[in-house]
Amino acid sequence: MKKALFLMLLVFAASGLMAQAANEENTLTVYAYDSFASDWGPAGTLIPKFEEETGIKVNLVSAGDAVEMISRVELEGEDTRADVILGITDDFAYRAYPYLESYDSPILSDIPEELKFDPENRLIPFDYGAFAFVWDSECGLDKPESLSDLTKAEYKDKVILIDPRTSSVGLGLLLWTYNIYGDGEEFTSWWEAMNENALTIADGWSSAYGLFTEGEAPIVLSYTTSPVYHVMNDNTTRYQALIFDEGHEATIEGIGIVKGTDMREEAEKFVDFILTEAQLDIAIANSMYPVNSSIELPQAFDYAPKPDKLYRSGATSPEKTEELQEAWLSIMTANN
Amino acid sequence: MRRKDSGYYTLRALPGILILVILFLIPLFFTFSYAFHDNGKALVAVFSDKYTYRLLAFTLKESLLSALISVAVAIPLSSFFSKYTFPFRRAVLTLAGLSFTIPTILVVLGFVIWYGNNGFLNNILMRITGRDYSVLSILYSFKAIILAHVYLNFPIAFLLITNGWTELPDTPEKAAYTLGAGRARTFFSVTLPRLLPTILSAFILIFLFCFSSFSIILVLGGNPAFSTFETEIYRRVNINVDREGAAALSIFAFFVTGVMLIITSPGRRERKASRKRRVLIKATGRKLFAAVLLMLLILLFILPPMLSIIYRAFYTKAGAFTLRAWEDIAKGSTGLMSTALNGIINSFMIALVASCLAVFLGSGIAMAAAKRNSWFIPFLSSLPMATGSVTLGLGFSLLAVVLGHDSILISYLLVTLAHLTIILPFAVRTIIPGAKAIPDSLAAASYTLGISKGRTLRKVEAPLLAPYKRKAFAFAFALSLGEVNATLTLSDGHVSTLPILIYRMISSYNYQGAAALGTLLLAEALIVFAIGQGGRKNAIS
Repeated sequence: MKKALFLMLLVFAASGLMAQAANEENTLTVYAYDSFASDWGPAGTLIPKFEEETGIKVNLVSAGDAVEMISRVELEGEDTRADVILGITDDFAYRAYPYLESYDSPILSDIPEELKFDPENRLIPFDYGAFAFVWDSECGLDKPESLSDLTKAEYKDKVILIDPRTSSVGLGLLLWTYNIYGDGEEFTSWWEAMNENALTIADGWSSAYGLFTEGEAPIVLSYTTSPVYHVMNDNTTRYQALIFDEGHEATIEGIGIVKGTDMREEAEKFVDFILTEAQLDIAIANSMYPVNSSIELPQAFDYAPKPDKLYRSGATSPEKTEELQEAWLSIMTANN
Repeated sequence: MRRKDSGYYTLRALPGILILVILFLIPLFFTFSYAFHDNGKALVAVFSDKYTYRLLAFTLKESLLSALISVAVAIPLSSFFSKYTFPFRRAVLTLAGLSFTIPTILVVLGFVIWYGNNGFLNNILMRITGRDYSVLSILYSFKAIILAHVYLNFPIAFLLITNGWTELPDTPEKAAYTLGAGRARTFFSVTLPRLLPTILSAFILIFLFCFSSFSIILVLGGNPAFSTFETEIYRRVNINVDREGAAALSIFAFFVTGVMLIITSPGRRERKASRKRRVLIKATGRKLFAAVLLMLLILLFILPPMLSIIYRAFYTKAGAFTLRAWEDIAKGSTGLMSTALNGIINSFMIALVASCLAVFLGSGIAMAAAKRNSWFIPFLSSLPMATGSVTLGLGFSLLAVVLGHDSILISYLLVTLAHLTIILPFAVRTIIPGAKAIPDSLAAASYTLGISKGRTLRKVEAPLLAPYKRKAFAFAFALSLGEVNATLTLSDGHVSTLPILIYRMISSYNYQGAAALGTLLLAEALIVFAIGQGGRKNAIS
């Protein structure tokens, strides 16, 4: 048994060694979130392309989600291996700024002003999305036209919400309602009504959307871009994003160069690459809109209508966010 | 005398304890130290906040109830399974361990496909009753939480108690019957006391699992009033970035689970040198009928959510057969790493190495604990379970930063060791009842014959421990197979296991692909379990 175990460890170690990719000097280390870095994410095709075009080796490190990525850079401090971090959302940007240096990329002129959340260009937006309710247009209910429509009695148990304490999408809705209703009476009554109408309040987007595709309820909190998947893969336009005139909460993802990097030139090339050639692949893979206005989107994106009015999540202070979460919790648990 | 003897066993437990200290305790202390910043302001805030106690009340209620029901359901079934032998007995026991491997997100999906308002069960009932709305509304309530917890954890109770019971010789019961004691009286005053360590072991494992559960509670509970400590810790770590508050809350939760662990650690008991395993009676006639009925009942409970996942891998929601999910998986194999095949191999290798080590080190720890009659060693080794996955994840990410490396080999090693830390408590808790049941007099007799301690352990004690080790291996393997967070954190995403691929599939909207990968995961676990069970015809469970 012990011999077998030892052998197994040996084989295991050997297979690990063989799998060990190039790890040379002069590689650009990029921290990114997991869904970008995996081979099924956009990185699988983009990174080899970048390496081939520029001759710069890239070491992509999947450092969890946006928060985990920042935490990691904070903990590592000056010793961080990262030269570039990719995927910090605007609402957590303030925590990343101290570790980033400005980069006035020539591509900035192709990015609409309202998306540039950092005036110093330490974080440059590379894609963005808007939260929206997605609904099954064949469910037989009337189409909701506004946030307040959702509070009507006919949608009882028809809506799947997401907890703002455990999910950034859930938090997006909380801030969305705050931007529209403020934090007073209107806010409270909207959530009170939704507490009735919500079938469940899921822990994250994954389970919420899973419930939705299983037909548990015809309306779910998601993104305006969600229908794209169904058009491209299921060839159906049955699932549609509801665009409300009141406006939508946006989430913007940024890329930045880490302070004190000794590969500034390579890092700039990488950022520019992400802002140009990589835009379409990232948009499709992430189900987000590209920021570069010169990018032509595939037809399926016709089903991902861009809202006219956007609120930026990053504009709400962290203290306010926490206050709103607490208010939310007391509203939602009032009857229990 | 006993103390002197135990030195050797303590020595054998050391490597396991060392790994725990390096991989778990040190990062944990770093994490916890956040709570003491600013003169422990966060800690004071947590201890004086009413909300903390509301969380505590609900968390305790939910986890105690889940553990109690799981154990209560398991005992009668185990009583039958540890008395009779019948066809498919072992197959059912093997299948029971499977639910453990499935990542939470798929459990939720399986539950929704089966029990959902629009799920199979409701569709069947609607057809029978002729109604056009859902007949049973099980999900999105407190009972759904308990149902899911029992579903996930009942196998622990069932397998552990059956195992422990089969290992108990039934001579005392026979004596009790001879003396005219009734069945109930015999059970409560003869069987139960001897079975108690095993029952407690199962109970505390389930309790700890449910204590740190949160996905299932939120999704299936349907109401934020159902929030556990883990929800709040998660919020503070990932959404509000309040590391001090999260650490303070973790300490509070840790304190509660620690107390639970200490109360439930079995006390000093005298062990007698009767090592006769019971002989299983062949079930015939009415007993065989009962066996079939019980097996059907268990399978009817365990299988549907799993079969639902497999069904979804082949059929769309509309009911059309498709192989697209499988094509999607095949398409992924253009890259070098991260492909499905790689995921299967990675999952298998990591689970195999980690659970072999866990059983090896775990039995060292369990034997030392039994010999020293110590509560502290099992307590120490149970701590990773008592910590909760969010805090554990925080510790691991700290470790990843400290160890900052670029090597894939180190990633593999770290991931395997992290899995080991997570599954070791399980292995130890599973083996301890076995180790405690080994009478000291056996070893003493062996020493008298001039046989060394090492040889005594190998030839006398180890064989007695074997059935417990097998169970421990199965649990450890299943647990490791389903692990996600530590793997992601410690490998920088360079090591892709099946559950990680499942989450990636889902984040790109591909639920069917995720179900297909889930099917592969179940198949992998089933094959390993079957191999582990087969070839041991003389084994009783």
